[in-house]
Amino acid sequence: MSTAEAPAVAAPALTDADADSAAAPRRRRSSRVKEALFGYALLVPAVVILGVFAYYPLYRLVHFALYRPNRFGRGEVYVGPSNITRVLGGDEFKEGLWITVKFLLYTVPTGLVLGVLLALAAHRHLRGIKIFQGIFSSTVATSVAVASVVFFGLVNPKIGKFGQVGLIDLSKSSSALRGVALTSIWQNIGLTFVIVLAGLQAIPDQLREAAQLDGFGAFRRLYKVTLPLLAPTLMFLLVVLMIFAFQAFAPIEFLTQGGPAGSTETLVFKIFRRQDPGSISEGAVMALGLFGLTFVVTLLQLTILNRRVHYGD
Amino acid sequence: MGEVQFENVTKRFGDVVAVDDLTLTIDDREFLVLLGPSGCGKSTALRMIAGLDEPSSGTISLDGEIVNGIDPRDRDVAMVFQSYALYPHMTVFKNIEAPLLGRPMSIDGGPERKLDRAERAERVGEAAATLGLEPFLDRKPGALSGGQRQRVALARAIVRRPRVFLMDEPLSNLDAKLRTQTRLELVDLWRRLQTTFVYVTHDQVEAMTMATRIAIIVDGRLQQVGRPQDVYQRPANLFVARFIGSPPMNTVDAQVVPSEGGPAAAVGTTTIPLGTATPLTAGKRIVLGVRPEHLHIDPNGPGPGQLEAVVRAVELIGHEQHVVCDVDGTLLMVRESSDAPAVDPGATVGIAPDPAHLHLFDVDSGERLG
Repeated sequence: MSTAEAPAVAAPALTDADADSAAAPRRRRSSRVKEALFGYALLVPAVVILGVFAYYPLYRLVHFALYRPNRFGRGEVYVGPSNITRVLGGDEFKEGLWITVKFLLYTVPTGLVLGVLLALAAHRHLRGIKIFQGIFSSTVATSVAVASVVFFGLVNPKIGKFGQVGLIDLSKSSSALRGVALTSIWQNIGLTFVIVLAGLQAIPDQLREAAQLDGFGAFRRLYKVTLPLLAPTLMFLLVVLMIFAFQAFAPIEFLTQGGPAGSTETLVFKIFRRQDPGSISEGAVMALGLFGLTFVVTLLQLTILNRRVHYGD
Repeated sequence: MGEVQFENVTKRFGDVVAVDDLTLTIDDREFLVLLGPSGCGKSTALRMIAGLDEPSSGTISLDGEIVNGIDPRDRDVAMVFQSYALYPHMTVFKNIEAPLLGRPMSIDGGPERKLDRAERAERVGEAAATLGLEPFLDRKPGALSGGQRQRVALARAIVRRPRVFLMDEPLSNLDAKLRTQTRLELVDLWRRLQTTFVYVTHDQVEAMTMATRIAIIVDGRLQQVGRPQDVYQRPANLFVARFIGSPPMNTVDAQVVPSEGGPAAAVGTTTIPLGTATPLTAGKRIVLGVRPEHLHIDPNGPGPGQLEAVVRAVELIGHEQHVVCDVDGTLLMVRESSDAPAVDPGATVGIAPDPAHLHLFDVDSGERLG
């Protein structure tokens, strides 16, 4: 830009600021309206996508829960809230809920602890550590189907290397859920690892060194300094992993299809089974129940734990 | 006791030599400042005392005992980090208390044991009182100002009464006014504690004002150790000469010439008496150094023995003025009192160096001559 142009550009700005007339507030208001409109315009894509893919399905779900179609999928009959209380109080829902909770207890604590341990092991300034970090995080990039097939090969009762290990025997209803849980743990460990590692790297080295000079041994450093500072990360992972556990479907479909004898039928799997017109209403209620459950658990975690979690400074 | 000894200590990081054959004894109860430009290896030297870095070769001793390979927590040293490294999730009280929780220590010369809660609280209280932190004990570091955080870091360091304090640029995150104030407080703290301080900085003002001795390190090599006035008045080499002093020492190339009244040097066409007893061979090329306060402007000059100069700029600082003069293309800085007769930019003047305060350096090695 030439120097001659500069004053020409600056001049209108000056007169604008000087104009202390009645026109100024009006112009300010109209520009504020314009700004607001622009803001709403930016919201439109998000609203459309959420509306089509989240709120409309939710509306349909409520609809299905309240109306029951006949077996040919036509002629809906209003069945009302009594349908909801009947299904949520029924044995099927309770059974699915119990299996889901067991699945959660198998996967979340173990997965979280293993992920943290792996990340602690990999958080070193060593030559070639990136290779290990890459290997540990690789399960993030592995599809559920591939992970399940790999584990099917390992834990299959007939051909698997670990097929006869009683603790994870897929052919017995007493242990099949643990076999599925193992797959799920393996599948999610890469995510836990990557996020915990990032959390560890965000803790300044000098803090670790200060703790060293303060006479903290490795163990005390871990639970007095590292873990408290990692708390927000762990909190986030806890919520995410619990939601994953509530929603687990693919490993069950690949490994056991809910069997043997329904012992791996989690809530999501039971909902998936109820797609035909005769049972879709029941499925919709279960889905609403699961939604409510996830919502409440997440809310509880965020409110209760947030009070005890230290976020930055 | 708190004597620290480096003996032929070298530290390499891959191909980079951070500390090169450092031999230095830091006396008990000394305030030693490791001074040098950033990346010169001074922080690495400090970290090796703490045990956070291990020497590649050579030995480090504390009170005569070699500490190579000894865990930081068993060295009985405390460190204040540049970032303060406070535990953000703990209150000020807990932060200061932290060093007391770790290991047993001798109480009043008695056998080593762990402190109980009341004893810890007493010590934390003492340290907090020393640094004026009592009102903040229940706060977390995030709710404190930079200066208060810095005090917490100091309190955490003194609470255990270690034999050596290590400080890594502790003032660099403070604003200028607070830095000046904290400098005084640190010296005061050092006097009260009667303990060895090893202090790393790149700021020569901090070094000059606080140190009992300054060790100047450049490119991992120790250049000179001495009292502040020694390194200022008798810099060991050109690097130290140019590094210490603000504005820095003027240096010009010169050649020793035969002269009747003692040794003299030619700068351009002017002959300047050197006022030194050091025997110098005529014709030898040297670098002549002179501090801005040892140059004087003769507005009526140039007279005999004065350099002819053109005034380029005059900076009035208040109590003094800095006059930038051009001597044959070399810029020299002259420090005059503000009462000195005014000179105007563009004027031709004479500059007379004070022969008693000339510094002579070898042109090749940069080492001081005489």
